[in-house]
Amino acid sequence: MAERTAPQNASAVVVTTLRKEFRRRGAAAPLIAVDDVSFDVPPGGSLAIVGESGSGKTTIAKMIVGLETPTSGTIAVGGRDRSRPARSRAERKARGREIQIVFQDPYTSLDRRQTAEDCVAEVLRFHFGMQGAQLAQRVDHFGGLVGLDGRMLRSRPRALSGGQRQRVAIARALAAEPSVLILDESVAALDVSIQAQVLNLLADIRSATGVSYVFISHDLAAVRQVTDSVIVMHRGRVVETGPVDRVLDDPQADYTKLLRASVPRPGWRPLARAERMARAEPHRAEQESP
Amino acid sequence: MTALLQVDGLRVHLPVEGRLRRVLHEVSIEVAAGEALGIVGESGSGKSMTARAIGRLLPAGARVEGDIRFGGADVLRLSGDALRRYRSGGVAMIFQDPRAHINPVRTVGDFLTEGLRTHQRLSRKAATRIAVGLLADVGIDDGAHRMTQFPHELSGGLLQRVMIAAALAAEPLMLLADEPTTALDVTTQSEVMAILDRLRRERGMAMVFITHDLELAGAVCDRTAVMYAGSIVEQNASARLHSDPLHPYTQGLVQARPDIASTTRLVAIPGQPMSAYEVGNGCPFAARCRYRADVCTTQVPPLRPWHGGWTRCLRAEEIADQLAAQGANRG
Amino acid sequence: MSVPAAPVADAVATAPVTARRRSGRWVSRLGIGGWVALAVVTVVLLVAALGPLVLSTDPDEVNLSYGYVGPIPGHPLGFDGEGRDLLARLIHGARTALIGPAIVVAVSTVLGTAIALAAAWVGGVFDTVVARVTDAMFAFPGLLLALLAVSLFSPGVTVAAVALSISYTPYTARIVRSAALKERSLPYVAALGVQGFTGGRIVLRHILPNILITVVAVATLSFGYALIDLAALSFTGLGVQPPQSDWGVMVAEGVNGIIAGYPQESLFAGGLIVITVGAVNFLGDRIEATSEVPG
Repeated sequence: MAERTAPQNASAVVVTTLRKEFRRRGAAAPLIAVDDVSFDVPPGGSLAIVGESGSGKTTIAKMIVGLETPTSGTIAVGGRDRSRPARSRAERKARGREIQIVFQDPYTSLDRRQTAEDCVAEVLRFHFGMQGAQLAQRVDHFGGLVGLDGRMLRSRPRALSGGQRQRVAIARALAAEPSVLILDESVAALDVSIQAQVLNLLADIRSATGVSYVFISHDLAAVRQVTDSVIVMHRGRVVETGPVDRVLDDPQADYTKLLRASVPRPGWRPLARAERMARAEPHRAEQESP
Repeated sequence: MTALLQVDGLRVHLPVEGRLRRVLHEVSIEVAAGEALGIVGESGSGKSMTARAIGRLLPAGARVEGDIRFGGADVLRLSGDALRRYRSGGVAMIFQDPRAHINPVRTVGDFLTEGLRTHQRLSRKAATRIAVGLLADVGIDDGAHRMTQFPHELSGGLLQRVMIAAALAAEPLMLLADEPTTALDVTTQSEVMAILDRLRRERGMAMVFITHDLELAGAVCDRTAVMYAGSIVEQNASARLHSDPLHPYTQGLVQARPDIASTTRLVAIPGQPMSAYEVGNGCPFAARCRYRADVCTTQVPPLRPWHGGWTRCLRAEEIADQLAAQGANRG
Repeated sequence: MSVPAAPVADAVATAPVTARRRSGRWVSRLGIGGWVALAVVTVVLLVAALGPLVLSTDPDEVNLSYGYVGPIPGHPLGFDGEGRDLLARLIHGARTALIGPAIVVAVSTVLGTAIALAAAWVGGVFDTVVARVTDAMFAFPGLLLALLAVSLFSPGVTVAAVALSISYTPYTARIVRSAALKERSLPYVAALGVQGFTGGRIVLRHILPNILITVVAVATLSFGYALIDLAALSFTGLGVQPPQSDWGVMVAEGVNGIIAGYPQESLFAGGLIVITVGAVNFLGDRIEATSEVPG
């Protein structure tokens, strides 16, 4: 197995001038999904990438985790470059221990034929060669970490609720002991009361294990619960970055202001067109094709 | 004055895995002409089923009991022409996923004018003119061009606005909106809700607005009902639900929602949302309620007036102080 | 990432979830028709396997004086044109009638599934090529290929079965590939990839088990088609050769009987073909239906 020789104080994730283009059939110019994005997540830190559909936030997540290849720019996790696809089986396996991901849809993120404990055990066997009693103990440990009892661990996804399935997905991700966990809209599909449970859980896991988060979301309020800093994206570009409380309490960019003003809260009224036009960034997205 | 929509003791059972299971339990609501009522709940709450029952769109095999009256007519017993008139000029529905409710191989124009030409016997020209006007009302200025486009060429937000326009075309007395903006981006949601709200008020239409978002309901509805496990657990003026929750579940919902303005640890409701048939005897929320007492698991609480609203909590008086004190006053 | 000593979660996910018995649902989803079909298929298979062992009557014993004689004690279905006991011939014929399709299904299913999984996983140019080739081969009727092979080489079940195996492979590959692609697009496959699992492991341990129902359904359908194709070949004299008993051969030989006013041979043999194929097809359909599991 590849030696982990990364320097100890390396950032959890460093992304520089990341760019992703998609070629479109019948169009001369490619679609620029991600344009000149750079950010830095300190070890144990938590960064939010906020944006709406088409902002490029999910594409960035996919590139960091290796599901897409950047057109240009660099990605480094724990000081080790992963801008290009892994070249060998061993490298792919080693990368699996650096960074993991939890997807949005609890219903399709798990193999429906596997029980929760099999799902976690498979990862433990693969990465650490665990067996027998040691394996069972470790599975229970991760179950406890995410709040799943024995009965739930022995259940298949079909018998679990959305929130419970997300916990299984989180346990599976943590089982590989990654230094970074990407949460791609991981609470968006959950009921409000369950979302609260999982947000608390994520905060607890971070303080207990020191794992770093990259939290992709469109939900500004949720972001505040789980992250320290945030980058706001609009159509592939970063429009604002900074500590999460500063950006949310005192947004500088027009788009951030618009985003913040659009979040329903007590006493809120939906923005009428006239108010929106008064801002520097007319939201012309509505008048264009998807 | 009698209400425009009156739902009394609505009970619905649905076939689940071969057996009939209760999904709605004694739902009673009233909506006056021109008034907007929000219905808020999570999975299993029955909010969508309530909307579908009102719109006569329950799935086959459903057993419905109780009374639904619209403008005095018995909705559950309508059929034929009367039912058609109810569904076009009486109540118009707007759904969560517009793409599931529009024919993808017909143009937007066809979609908008079809009803006008069939039911109101208008010529193609007249119907087109009205349709373009409706599109302008929902903020689509290049209506003539949009009419020639197909649904897949429009974004979700645009398509939802087209659906609103279509709903308005029949000039209904009431709108039934089932999570119309849940699938949209938050800025698009704001835009679409602003349009919906304005048009509704301008035309004096009533509305039943279903959503999982308590704040969103509060923004466009005068009153809001909170549902849990097939029952209404609280009903009150929207503004008061936050500042003065009357039911522990409402309080739980308020506290569970992260605050965009501050980072405090969320107070989560333990367990998960249930359907009506999954809760035991007594109060549907008892299993998850922090104020649960013995009486809560033996008696089914009635929905009763309290503090200017309605609550289905047996202990409302006893816990009033605790609900008020911890009911987050988020600003 | 450091690992804490004690569990952390405070908001424990509690729930009185109604556990559903997996086999229970499968049973009901198969439906009464499905169970009847399964019973029919099982009976046919049992008869084919054990019938010749139980029955003492010799299916090849010719006795011209009994030609076209109806049922008599000891011979419940009567005789064919050459005085051979019909029931014995039908029972023995079941073996030859079923062996051929079994081979075709085994070969085409294994080959077709392997090709489909590889194409679905590797994707890109390889997948496109496989898709186009299977589409082209699919357009060529299996029976025609079998006829061609038989006329090129020699008549007999073996040659025909090989030819049909080749022509059924693209059919299986198409259907399995489609199911595999759908499965592959699910997020859990991506999650396993991020874990670092190899493609082979993901395909064999995760994708294949999840689409196994589809593979089984295609196999049962192929069985039915193969049975008919091979019986048709035997009917034309290019498959199983008389005097061997085989349902297809019996339908052909029974034609003379029809003319003579004794349709039993063709009727029974043909009827058995229809019943078996019908039951197998219906069963395949119901098996596929059980895979439509919500969430």
